[in-house]
Amino acid sequence: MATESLTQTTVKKTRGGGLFKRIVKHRWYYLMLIPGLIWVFLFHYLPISNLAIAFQDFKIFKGIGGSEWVGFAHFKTLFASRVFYKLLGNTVILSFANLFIGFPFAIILALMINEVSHSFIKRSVQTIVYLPHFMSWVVVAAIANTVFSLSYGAINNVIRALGGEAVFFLGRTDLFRQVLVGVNVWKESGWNAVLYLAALAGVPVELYEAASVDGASRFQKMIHISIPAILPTISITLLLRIGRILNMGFEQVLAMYNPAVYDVADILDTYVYRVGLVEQNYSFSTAVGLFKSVVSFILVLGSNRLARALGQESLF
Amino acid sequence: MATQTRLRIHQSAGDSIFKAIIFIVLLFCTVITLLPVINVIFVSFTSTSEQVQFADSFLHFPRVWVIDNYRYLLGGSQLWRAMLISITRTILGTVLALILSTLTAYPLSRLELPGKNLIMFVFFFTMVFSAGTIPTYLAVRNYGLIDTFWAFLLPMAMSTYNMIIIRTYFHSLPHELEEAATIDGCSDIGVMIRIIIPLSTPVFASVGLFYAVQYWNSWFDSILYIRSRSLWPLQLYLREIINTASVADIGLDSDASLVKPTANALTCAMIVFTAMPIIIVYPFVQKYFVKGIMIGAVKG
Repeated sequence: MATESLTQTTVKKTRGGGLFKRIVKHRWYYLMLIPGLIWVFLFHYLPISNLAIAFQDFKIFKGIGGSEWVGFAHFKTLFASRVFYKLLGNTVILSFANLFIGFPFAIILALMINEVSHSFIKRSVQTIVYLPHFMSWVVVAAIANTVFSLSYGAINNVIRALGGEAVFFLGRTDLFRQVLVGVNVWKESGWNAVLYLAALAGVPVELYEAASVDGASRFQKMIHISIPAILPTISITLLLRIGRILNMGFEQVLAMYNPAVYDVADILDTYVYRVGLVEQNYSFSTAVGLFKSVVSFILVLGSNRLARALGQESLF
Repeated sequence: MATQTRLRIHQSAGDSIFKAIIFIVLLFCTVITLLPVINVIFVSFTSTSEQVQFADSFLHFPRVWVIDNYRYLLGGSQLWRAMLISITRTILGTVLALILSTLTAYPLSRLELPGKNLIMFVFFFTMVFSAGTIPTYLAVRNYGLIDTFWAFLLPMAMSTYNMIIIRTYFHSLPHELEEAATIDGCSDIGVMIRIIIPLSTPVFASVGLFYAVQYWNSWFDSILYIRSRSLWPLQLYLREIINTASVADIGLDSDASLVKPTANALTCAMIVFTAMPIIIVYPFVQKYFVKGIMIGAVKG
């Protein structure tokens, strides 16, 4: 007993006394960290301190120091305006539409690709469906134009050839969301299937063999072996997606929308961009952005905690 | 015996139907993915007269392949300069981001470093809370980066996510190597340069490609920070073409004697020009992307 506690105190002592020594010993490591820390300070933490202008009547020539403080005035205006609820509604509707349609689609795609036994076909399908993920939203928006445009879009060419009347897909409020969701599924489903495919590749072959011996069909094997195998991946991905519900779709909407469909497509982020940078109403748009950042911060933390409670690996 | 055989035949019939359905659905998915891209390529090589003649046809295979649309588009100097800017920013940005991420990831992958968790938290926090567009824009403006080439590089010089991928990879390398090197008299830096970095080329390939795609595709930051057209990357010209659908408005000084392409052909040629590097390189490097995301997913 005595010797044990003695060794413990010695260990503690060397640790306590050695902290400075250990820091000096690893001084090169700290030196290496300096550029990254300066960068994160300049491009993340200093901008966070700029959030103060949400509580100011910020004038760019006066700077943060010289601008007048207005407290929560911008937030009061914001929460009292109808525009805000429309923006919030659009953001949530679009995100959930993408989630409900895109999320299961990626899973089904992965399950189907996993059933292909011919490795060349499998690899080719993967290469093709991953491709759109690597194009920018501007490129995809341009491709969407060549498909959906009123005057030269491929779909309208077909409709006209069949004697129908061209449809203004990109300018009709009752169709634009469907186009957004469809294009998003087209671009991201393949890449979203990657994680599930990895989980499926990790399933022991013996499980499938044993099931075959028991007379299971391929479909039964998919239902009873493959799907349970990717269930943990599904739940964690779903939670993380829900945590990021306010952060989805900005670049897509900005690249694809136009004033005719602002009513259904204007989301919080696009509004911040227009009001802040185009109209230069810095304070008000920062208030909208701060609201979004705080809510999504809570959502991300909540979904992570939930993921951890479910026993899955979380973001941290 | 007889029933068993029948059972097996019955099952394989069910399985073949299942397989056939999957084959058809996957074929459909790949066709849907490729058709718009193929259509873009076809249109970009079709002459204006042929386009007018076959205006109502779908997926028109060019009778004669012509490069007139590209000649018109690339006749002036703007798009070549834009290409140069896109390439330069991609190369410089990728190198800068890789160096910065590695410098940060390496110390944070060392278990014994005092204060490591605190520093890690400083980076983690940026993943869950962002200042938003306007405060970041004001900061970049304060640094005097607006309308300079630096605005292409610095604000996105590191992604915490990619840094964590590199760190996870460093972590996964066997510790014995490092111990052996230390016993042989290697310093901290020596271990990193002689042992860890040479072993980490796969992760540098993956993360480097992530960064390269990110820099090549990035356009919103150019809208925010770049004012002069002489600094526009390709993505912004493409965006301008979708928004205005005419060359006159984007100020190309093309040869006036050339036939002006249709809006469709112009968009298509510009798409090909902008996305070409990715479409050409991507099939050869696809495995690195998948590997990269795997490392990230194991311990995100």
